[in-house]
Amino acid sequence: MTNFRFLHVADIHLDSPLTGLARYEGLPVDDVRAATRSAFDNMIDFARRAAVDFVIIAGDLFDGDWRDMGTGLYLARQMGRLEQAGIAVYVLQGNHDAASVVTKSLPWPGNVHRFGSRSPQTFRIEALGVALHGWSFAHQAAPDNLAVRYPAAAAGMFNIGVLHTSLSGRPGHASYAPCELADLRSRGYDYWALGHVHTFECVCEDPPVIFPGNVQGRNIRETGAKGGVLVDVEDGVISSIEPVHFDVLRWARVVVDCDGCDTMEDLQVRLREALAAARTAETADRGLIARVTLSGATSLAGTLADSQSQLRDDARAHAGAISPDLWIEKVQVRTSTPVAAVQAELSEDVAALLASAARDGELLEALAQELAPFLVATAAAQPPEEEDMRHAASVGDWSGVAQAAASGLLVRLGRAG
Amino acid sequence: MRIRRLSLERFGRFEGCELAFRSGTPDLHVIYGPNEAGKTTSMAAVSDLLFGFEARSRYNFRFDYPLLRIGAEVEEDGRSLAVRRRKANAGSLVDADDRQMDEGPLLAMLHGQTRERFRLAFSLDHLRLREGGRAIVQARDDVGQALFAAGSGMTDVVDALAALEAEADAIWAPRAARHRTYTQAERSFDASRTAARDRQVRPKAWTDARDAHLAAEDARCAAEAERDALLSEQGRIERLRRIAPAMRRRAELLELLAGSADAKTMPAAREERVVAALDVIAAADRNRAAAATLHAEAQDRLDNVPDDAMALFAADEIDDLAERRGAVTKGSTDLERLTIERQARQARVAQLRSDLGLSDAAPPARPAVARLRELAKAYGEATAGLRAAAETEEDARARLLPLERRLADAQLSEGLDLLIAAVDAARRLGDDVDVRHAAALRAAAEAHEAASRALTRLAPWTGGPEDLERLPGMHEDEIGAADAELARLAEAARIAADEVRRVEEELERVALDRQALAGGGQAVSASDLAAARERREALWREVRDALVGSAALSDPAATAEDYSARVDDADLVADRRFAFAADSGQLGLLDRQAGEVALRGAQAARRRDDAQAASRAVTAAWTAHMEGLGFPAMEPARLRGWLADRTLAIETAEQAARLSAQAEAEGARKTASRTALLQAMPDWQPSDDCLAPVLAEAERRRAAGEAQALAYRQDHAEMRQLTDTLADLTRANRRRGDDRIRIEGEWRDVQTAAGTGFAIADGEGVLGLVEELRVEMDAVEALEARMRGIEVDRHGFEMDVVDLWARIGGEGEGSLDRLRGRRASAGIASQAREDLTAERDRRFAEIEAAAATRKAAEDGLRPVVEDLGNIAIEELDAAVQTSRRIRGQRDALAAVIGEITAAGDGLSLDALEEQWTGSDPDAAAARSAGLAPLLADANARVTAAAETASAARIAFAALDEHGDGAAAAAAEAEEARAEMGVQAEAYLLRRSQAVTLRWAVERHRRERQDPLLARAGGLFRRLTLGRYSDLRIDHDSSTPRLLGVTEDGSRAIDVDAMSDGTADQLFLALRLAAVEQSVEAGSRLPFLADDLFINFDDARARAGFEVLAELAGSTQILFFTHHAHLADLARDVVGADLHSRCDLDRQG
Repeated sequence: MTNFRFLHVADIHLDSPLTGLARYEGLPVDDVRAATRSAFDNMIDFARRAAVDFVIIAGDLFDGDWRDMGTGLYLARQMGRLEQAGIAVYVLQGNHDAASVVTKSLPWPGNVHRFGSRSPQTFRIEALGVALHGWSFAHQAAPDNLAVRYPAAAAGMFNIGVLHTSLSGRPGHASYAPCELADLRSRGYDYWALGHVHTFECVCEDPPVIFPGNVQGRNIRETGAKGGVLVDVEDGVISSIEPVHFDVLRWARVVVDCDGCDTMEDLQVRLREALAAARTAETADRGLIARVTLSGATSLAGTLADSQSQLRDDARAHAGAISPDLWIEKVQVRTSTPVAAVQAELSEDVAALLASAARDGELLEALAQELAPFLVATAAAQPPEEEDMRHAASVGDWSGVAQAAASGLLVRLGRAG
Repeated sequence: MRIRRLSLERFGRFEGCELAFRSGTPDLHVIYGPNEAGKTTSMAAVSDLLFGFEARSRYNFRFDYPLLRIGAEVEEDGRSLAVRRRKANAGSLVDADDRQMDEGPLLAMLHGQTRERFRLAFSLDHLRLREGGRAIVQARDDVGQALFAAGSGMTDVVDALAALEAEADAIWAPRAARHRTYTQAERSFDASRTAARDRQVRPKAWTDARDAHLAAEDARCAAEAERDALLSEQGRIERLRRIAPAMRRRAELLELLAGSADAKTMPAAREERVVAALDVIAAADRNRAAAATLHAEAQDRLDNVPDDAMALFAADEIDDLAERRGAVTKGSTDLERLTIERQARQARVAQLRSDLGLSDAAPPARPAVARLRELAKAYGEATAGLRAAAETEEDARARLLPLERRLADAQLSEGLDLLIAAVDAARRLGDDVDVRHAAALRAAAEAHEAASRALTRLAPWTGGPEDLERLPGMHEDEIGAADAELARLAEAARIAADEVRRVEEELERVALDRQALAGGGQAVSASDLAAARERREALWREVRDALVGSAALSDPAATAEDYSARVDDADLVADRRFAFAADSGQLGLLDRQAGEVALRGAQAARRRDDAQAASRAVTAAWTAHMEGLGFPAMEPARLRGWLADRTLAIETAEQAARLSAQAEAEGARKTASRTALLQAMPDWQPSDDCLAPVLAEAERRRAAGEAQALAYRQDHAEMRQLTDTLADLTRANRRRGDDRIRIEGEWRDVQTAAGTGFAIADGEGVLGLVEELRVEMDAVEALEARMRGIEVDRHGFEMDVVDLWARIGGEGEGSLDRLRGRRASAGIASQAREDLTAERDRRFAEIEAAAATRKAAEDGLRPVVEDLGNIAIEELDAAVQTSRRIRGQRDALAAVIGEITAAGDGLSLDALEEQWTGSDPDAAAARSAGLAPLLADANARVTAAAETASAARIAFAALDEHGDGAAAAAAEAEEARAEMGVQAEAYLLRRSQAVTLRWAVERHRRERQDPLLARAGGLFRRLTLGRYSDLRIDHDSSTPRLLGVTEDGSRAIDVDAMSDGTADQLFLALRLAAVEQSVEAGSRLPFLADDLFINFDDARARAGFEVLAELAGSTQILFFTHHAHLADLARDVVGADLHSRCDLDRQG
């Protein structure tokens, strides 16, 4: 057996847009829009530079509902660059690819080998003594355990299993080709190149069963570094498995602890510090998109909840001042009123009236009636997150809406008085 | 909770300032301090103590933040708590030793109030009081908001609500608008999404374009290959064709040169000279020989030319005859044609005669024919008229038959006129007659009821409207006079009664004064003395009467004792009168005064009684008068009202009577109309007594009857018309028959006259044939005349020709052609003789010139002849030709090889020779001819394929130009979608806040308005010293308003119509009422008031303190002021003992 190295990536989702990031002055819109392509470019550059022997793409090259042939041609050109460098590519079709019309129509260069979807297929690289086993998705849904039908390891070869799967279930990921680790191990392969889960995960070390994560985070749920895995094999034995990063923009959650914060000035200081710390903590030379969450118990809770738009502007301004590579996705106010102050609303006055808002059927009905058309008219907007008022409204939790409105209102009226 | 002691240890300008507030009610404490003494600071200190220092406290100008301290001793329900506050983010509550304390106990006493709530509800300065007043005015369009403002301490609920609405509206509204942020994001989203879709290259489109491109390229290559093959073949054939002549020539030349290898040559110039000389010699010989021959020929011909002078003399006559022959020839031709035409016409004449049966007789004369034609036409018209009339008659009879049947069967309904009249009359009543009648009945009933009510109001008078009208009129003057008299008497009685009352009061006063004097027992008035004596004398009269025996005493002993007592009493009174003469005098005076007063009283009483009596008399007289007239007995004033009621009752009764009459009239009209209708329809019974259904039925019947009548009339009219038509036809037919008989008679007469027997029935045809016969016979005659003329002309011409031929000595039979031949021959011969003579002379001169030329040329050639070995001159030409031929062949060979090479497409001479040798020229020529169209086709295919390929390539390349445009647009759409999400969340917050605030305001109004308003009204009454009695909400106007009700309840004043001070008092009342509610609800915190009474006058400020003192019974009140007199006023109100006052200026 000889020595060789390969690159394992998955979930490219080429040209799928970054979501949840509203445009604003200072946001590098061109970089944002080209992020998945840039990350993919980085991957190609890396493969050429590192002179890998082959590349494995374990599914989801494209977004399933994306129908632009331009994207496919771009991919084909990049594959062509690998071909020029003599690098073979083994492509497995994931759930998105199965649905993609682009995949079906693309003129694949000669160095690209695609696993079949009728049954497991094995590609043998005799010069390297490598056997790659893979089974592409024929349909968008793959409810069956595909792994158990993979062939047994080829004797005297370095066996790699390529599979797009959610294993026995991964939070936030739909179930595809479910299987257990034991199913994978039973094949006797030397390496399992998985795809589908967008976060790097080393499921097992012996044999290595690895999700490389996607190459570029596309929303706040895909935080942290993104890229692939570089695997070195010496005399048929893996000598190193190294995660490599290709992303150009990175998502981060920045929690600002507002506990005991009494003034807006104080809050601004904490906000700035938290953002600066987040920027500093991210040592890689990449753009950082931050989701700011204000948390903790503070007397400003109501004020903050009532001035989210201003807070977003403030956070953007701070970010711009801290670094030209730091941007704000959103500011979430998740602060609570201190316990003592909460009791304040229980006396029989206007505050008490507002405090009782969440339990008043008449108000809840008025809210439902007034806001129902709005919910219908704005259905196309970015879906709300679970803590958002809009989420409460959309599931008919008018009590929650009234609660939030009343607490903000109390502060607002206090200010106004 | 209350503050027992406030310790401003280090705060603002204070250091070690202690303020103590004694316990007990009222828990009202005045904190006095002139300007700059630190009132505001003290109030802030209370807030900071209870809720911690504000982050950016401005009270650090003397002591730095860490040094600031406020201490206090607070208590509630018997529990006491000593706390100190320092400035710190956490753990700011400390004990006496600056050790951190648990905040729990203090928080418990605060009952959950926050700094903000405390500031709004429990802390009031004049500025905020004024703002509150203004808020009420500004919020007057919604009392709920005003009360909410008062209750919550807020000043601008309206603005807050408006701001929320505006903020929400700026984001989203059901109607999209450009300025709304959500709309902006949404439009951006839609545009980007559309762009993404538009910029996408569909895989299907791409593969289709690619396949099309590849296929087009293949097609182009194939077409080009085909064309190139043809081109190549054509090139080869063309080349061979091109070099073929040269190749052949070359072969010939090579052969020729081989044959003359040893012949002599000479230079080209000498060749030229020799040739030229030889040419000259040859030319000279040829010229001489030719000239000699021609000379001889000319002489021979001259000898043979004849001379015919006779013919030349007659030339003009011959030409004239030639011209005439044309006309004669044409005549002959015409003659044949005319003969044929004549035969045809003669045959036609014979045919016509046979058809007409005329044999050889002449046809009838023209006038006879004309008359016959008229008769035949008239006959035809009459016959046609008869036929048409017969058809018309048949048609009319066919129509008449059913009409007669229908008319016989028709049944006209009877009484239709009656029905029509009834319907018209009913219609004139109008469609709504039933409704009108019902309404009139109702109105009449209502009017009767109203009249009855009006009569009832006239009680106690009873009777009917007629009785009322019978009552006499009552003049106002009479009532006025009686009323005035009664009023005068009542007034007099009232004045007298007043006098009596005053007298009684005076008497009471006098009695009091007298009692005061007499009460001591000393003073005795003259009347008292007189009275005592009178009592004595009265008993003495009884005793004396007993003594004299005129009467007996019932109990002498008792009487004696009584008498002695009365004597003693009288004496005692007399004694006392004298002993206390002054007092007694005074008493006497009083008695006299009393007497006078009593007299005045009696007079007054009399006047009163008189007046009352007079009044009663007048009343009685009036009553009698009234009853006499039939009116009820009542006072004049009431009578006026009664009279008004009477007028009304009469009017109402009249109205009722009028309406009844109307209803009756309406009913009568309706009934009459209905009866008339029903009479016209005896067989029909209505279900109710309404007119409408009857009318409807009647109208239906009327329409049916009218339609029937109309149909009958139409049928009748048609039948009459048909009968008339038939009569007319009969008359016309008779006339036409007579005409026909007359025409037939005349026809027969004319026939007899003309000798023919044509039938009139086919008169027109026969007459046409007669006409034609006449025409044809005329034409035959004309033709025969022309043929005779032609024959005469031809004979004249022939005679002239024979005559002329004889004259010029012609032999044999003369003809024009022969004449013309002789004339031509004679002319030619004459000219020829002249020409031949001239030529003969010229040829002789030419013979001489040629001999001279030859001699000169022979001399020039002598050296050449010698060079060539003295050959004969005749051989010279062959030598030159040989030399010239060899050189020419050599040059030609070189040129031919050059040609071959040039046209050989670069191939070598040998290769070309080889190809040429192997080729078949005929086959190649045939192939070449066939290639041209093939090549043209191939070229066309190449051009078409190239165009297709180019278009496909451009289309395919265009698909790759979009690059990442679609992805960028999709990303843009995501950005917009994210913004939509943010804006939607913001909108939801604002709109839900607005809804919640509206709800809170309404809820607050509903729940709190009444108790709050009632309490605030009470406080407002007290604060305004009763000038205003209450607060009221006016719901009558379009928007509810808060109004102050004046003292007597007669007016309600709008807030903005109140003075500044009153508005202040109104808001204070509302605020205090709200504080009371809070306190009752358990939030018993100190109420801080800062100079609230600035606009209050002293009396109202006092009332204000009274109200505050009352509130201070339930919660602590700290009243800050810089007005010393207010502090004093507070002391007056609560009393010096209970007054509590701290002076800040002494404490600093």
